[in-house]
Amino acid sequence: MSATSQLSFQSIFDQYQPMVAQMCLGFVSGDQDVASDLTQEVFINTWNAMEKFEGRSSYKTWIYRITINTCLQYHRKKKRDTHVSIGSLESDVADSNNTTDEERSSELYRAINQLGKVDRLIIMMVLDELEYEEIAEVMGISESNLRVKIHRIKKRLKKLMHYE
Amino acid sequence: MSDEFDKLKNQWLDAKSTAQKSDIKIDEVIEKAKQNKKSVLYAHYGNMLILTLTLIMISAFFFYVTSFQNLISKIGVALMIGGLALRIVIELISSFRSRQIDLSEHAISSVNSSLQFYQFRRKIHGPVTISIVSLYTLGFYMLTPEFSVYIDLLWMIIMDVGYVIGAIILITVIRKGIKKEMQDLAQILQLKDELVSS
Repeated sequence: MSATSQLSFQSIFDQYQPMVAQMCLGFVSGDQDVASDLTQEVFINTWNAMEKFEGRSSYKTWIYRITINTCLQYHRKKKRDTHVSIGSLESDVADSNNTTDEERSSELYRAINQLGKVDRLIIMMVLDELEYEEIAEVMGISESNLRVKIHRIKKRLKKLMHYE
Repeated sequence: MSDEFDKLKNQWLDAKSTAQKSDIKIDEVIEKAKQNKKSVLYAHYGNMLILTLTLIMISAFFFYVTSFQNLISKIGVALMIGGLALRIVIELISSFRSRQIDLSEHAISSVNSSLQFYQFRRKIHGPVTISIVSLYTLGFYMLTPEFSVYIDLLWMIIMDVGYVIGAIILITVIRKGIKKEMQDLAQILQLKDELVSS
């Protein structure tokens, strides 16, 4: 790998590591160990793809694409979708009025984990304040399709978080 | 719904500090990436090397050690060597196709590449593999008439039964691999549905 690519990788790693770590954490229901492995996997895939980067998109959407694909690949390999029932989740959330920040994060991750894998990834990008245009580009779907999906996911998430 | 979602968004942004506690070091990532690349290459070339060496050894054995005289035996040799050579070519194509899966493409494109790869594998596992195994087996048994002229009946029986046992073990291993790949294919199809549906 060229010195320029190495420098670019260093800069990508420094800039996007928190974003990747949180996406992975959200994807695996807040399990820190698994998320850490998955984050590492994302950056291994990023390193391997560095020489293919042609600058047609920003590094930001590029790294999101690798993160999304790595998460989906991980899901397929491990086949370990968490099956926490909505009932148990709701009771957890209901008892949590005086919880710490960390516990609140866990609630959020668990709620996100109730969604399907694609919905989970989409809503995390929305929460990360990515533009709809960028999310559509990352997923490879039309913006109108994305809007319909997001509307549906928001409704479901609201229900899961007991806001309804 | 907007206020509630803003609340969620804030919760998400607050949670970023927890996520940042990740202790991944860039040097470790680079080292692992290099190791992975090496092991993938070794596995790829190792597999090719084993198959090619087997082909060379079988060819050398048939041409220099046994040198069959009957036409049937010669056809048998051609079928066995041809089957193995075809297998090597398929492995090469398969390996090339697997490297076409690009995780830096958008999700639909990456899923489509995976889908094409597994659909190709499904084709191989079906008629192609059955044909290769059948041709190889046919070739093997076409050698037995000429073999029986030089080898005792007992050894002939051991050889033929050994082949059947070997084939059963091989088929079991292949079936296990096929089952896993077909599960992957089903999951990718499901994923594609999830991606394109509204």
